Amino acid sequence: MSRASNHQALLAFLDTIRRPDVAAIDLGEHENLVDSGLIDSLAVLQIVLFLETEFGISFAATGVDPGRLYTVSSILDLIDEFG
Amino acid sequence: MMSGVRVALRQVWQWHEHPWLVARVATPAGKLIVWLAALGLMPQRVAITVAPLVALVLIWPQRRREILSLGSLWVAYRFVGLPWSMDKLGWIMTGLAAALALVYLVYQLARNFQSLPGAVRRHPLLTVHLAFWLAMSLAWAMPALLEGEDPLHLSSVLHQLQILLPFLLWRFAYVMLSGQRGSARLSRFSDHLCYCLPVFGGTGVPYGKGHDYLSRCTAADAQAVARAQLAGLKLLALAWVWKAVRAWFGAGIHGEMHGYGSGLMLGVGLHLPRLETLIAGEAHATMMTAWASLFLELIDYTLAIAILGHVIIGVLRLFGFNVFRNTYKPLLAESILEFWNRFYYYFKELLVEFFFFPTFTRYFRNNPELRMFAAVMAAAFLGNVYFHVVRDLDELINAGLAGAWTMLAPRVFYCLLLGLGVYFSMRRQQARRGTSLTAANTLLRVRRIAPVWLFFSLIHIWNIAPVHLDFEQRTRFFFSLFGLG
Repeated sequence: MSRASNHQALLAFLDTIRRPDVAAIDLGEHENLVDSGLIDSLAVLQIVLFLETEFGISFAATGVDPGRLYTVSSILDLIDEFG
Repeated sequence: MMSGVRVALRQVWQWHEHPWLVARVATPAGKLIVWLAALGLMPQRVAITVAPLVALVLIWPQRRREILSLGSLWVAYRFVGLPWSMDKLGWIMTGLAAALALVYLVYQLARNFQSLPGAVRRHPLLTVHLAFWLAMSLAWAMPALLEGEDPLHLSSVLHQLQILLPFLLWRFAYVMLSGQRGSARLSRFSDHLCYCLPVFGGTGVPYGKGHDYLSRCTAADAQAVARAQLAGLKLLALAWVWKAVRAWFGAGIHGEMHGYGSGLMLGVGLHLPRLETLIAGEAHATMMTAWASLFLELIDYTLAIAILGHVIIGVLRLFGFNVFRNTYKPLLAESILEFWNRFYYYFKELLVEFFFFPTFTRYFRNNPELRMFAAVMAAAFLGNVYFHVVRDLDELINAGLAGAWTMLAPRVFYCLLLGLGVYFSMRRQQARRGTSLTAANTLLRVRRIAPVWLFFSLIHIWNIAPVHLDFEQRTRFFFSLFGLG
């Protein structure tokens, strides 16, 4: 899949876990998802699950770097790298 | 109207982000004022070592890691534990060299991570811990093996290692994590030395984590450096305020005097007994007084943790790292999970990065419920107990097997309760996700906050510091709160 379609899939997923009062679509690619209030720190786990199931990324060997899951851009980079 | 006042108050409270102020602080005169303010706000023992380094960072902000590494030499010297004298110069230099060599060795392993054996690459954290226990075992066994023959004073060096290694353990784990993530490959020695032997302060818990997090939080330009430094000053000022509040709190509630003019409160104080005194049975109190002491202890403990963290993070921000606070309004948390996240952020992060995520990504992948439960318990329960075993290793060994268990049992029970609390809070939060929360008026917020206070106050019975308070005493006190026993 292209980065653009990954982007769409990611935004659609973030929409399902976001806090009700913040819209994922308004968010900049480099904006911090937790700081912006879009998701809470627990939602990072949901992102890990999403990346495992949708893109087949396994974190078992590399470990999870929460810092790479805090912006749309860094999650897309991760998908490009391991997906 | 109310929201307008709220916005105005928020702007005043966020003074450190005001563009006008940030622009002024980026000027030479502004930097001098920041330095003087930092000097005034830092505790004296911190200011002596840190103030000259902050001055250097104000001049050369891009060299902050090298400057911090200069401070690391001082930290290494303190671990050597010998007073400065010319006749001990050889020993001091040996101790310093040993500490630096240890950090350099781990840095090289992380830098060349891809060349390490497959088993180490697959389990870098396990390797760090195995190496730690091997080194500690050697350090314990060596004096006996030397049988009094120790012309090179190896016992002294090994004793220093026994003190240094538990402090370095989690920092080395962060170095290896950088190796695993590939970020250590292009890093320099000073990038790691500065947090392994941190002049900005720390305990067994690495405040500011490791290379990766610090790199992400590094202020990139003069304006960002100024913002980070102003935020650092704010935290140092807050630490000062909380110290005064704690002193007055201690005088007003418990009749103790700790400076900051708290003596004024002694005549009008409540003179309630401390929780530890009640648990030890050294004072008698009504049930209501016991409950009051329980909740007040949570407030006092939170203040103590906040003060410690604010000073360390405040100083780190002065060096131009825009890192998270260690403690952020935990007493206003509306769930157990939120409290855990806000109370001691860097300890929670340590448990999450080294226990939660490794368990979550490796085990029970086909059973989501069990997967989450195992990961939470690995962090909040097992990891938490393990951290304290490492931290108190010296005392535990000296106490013998039975004594060590007496010391550990309350901690094990506390961690078990914490783990279960965090897990159920997580489940509850997951179930709530996507549903809009009711507008939180004050009464509703109090109703959400109260159970969190109750939970953490109660489990603190098995967490409060004096190690001579055994499990039975603590449990008896717990039941006495409900008129039982």
